Amino acid sequence: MATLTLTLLSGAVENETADFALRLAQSALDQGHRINLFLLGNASYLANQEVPFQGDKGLTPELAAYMDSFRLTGRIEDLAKAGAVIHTCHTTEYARGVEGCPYLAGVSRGNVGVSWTKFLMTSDLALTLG
Amino acid sequence: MLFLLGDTNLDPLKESLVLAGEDDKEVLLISDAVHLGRAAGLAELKALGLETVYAEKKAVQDRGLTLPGGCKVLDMAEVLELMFDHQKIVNA
Repeated sequence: MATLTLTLLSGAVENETADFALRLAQSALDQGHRINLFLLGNASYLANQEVPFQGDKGLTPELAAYMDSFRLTGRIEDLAKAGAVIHTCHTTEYARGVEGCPYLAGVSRGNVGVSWTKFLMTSDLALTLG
Repeated sequence: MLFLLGDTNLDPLKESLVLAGEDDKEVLLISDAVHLGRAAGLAELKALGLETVYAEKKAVQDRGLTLPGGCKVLDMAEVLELMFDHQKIVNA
């Protein structure tokens, strides 16, 4: 069993990197490895609970379904349930005005100096994806 | 050394290849970069000295691509194995 730390820089939708990172993490967990996931920069948006919009979405059902396919919150929570350790960078959250928003289950407030450093120092492999 | 490429812009890859020194150079194509697994892109990558070219399976399938034999298509379990084998991975 090895420990893999993934540092993710991208959020949902902006590219496919977050999707790739989460699939890689899930595959590692499936094979019995340990996963640390550090959500840095725009990836810190993935840490928060969704806030459902109550008004008229202004989307066709088809478009809404397509856009829903980009949402990653459920997969983040699934990774945490499966044992992934997931921390954010609170400084990049602060810069985006989302520090203090409720986290998804299994996501913890973190930082570069302590949590990320611990991740890196206890990893067999560390990979940054952005 | 394994290079990771997420789009079809080769400039960052060209600049980072020097990091491999005399080591063997391989590249894993993900996301839009899998288009480089087609014949023309493959020729460019080989010309840059990349001995082995891999492409991530889901990205290939999502784009409906059929890649030539010179590009090895890997599922995620194989991608993970490749990463652990290499240890040094440069995200270009």
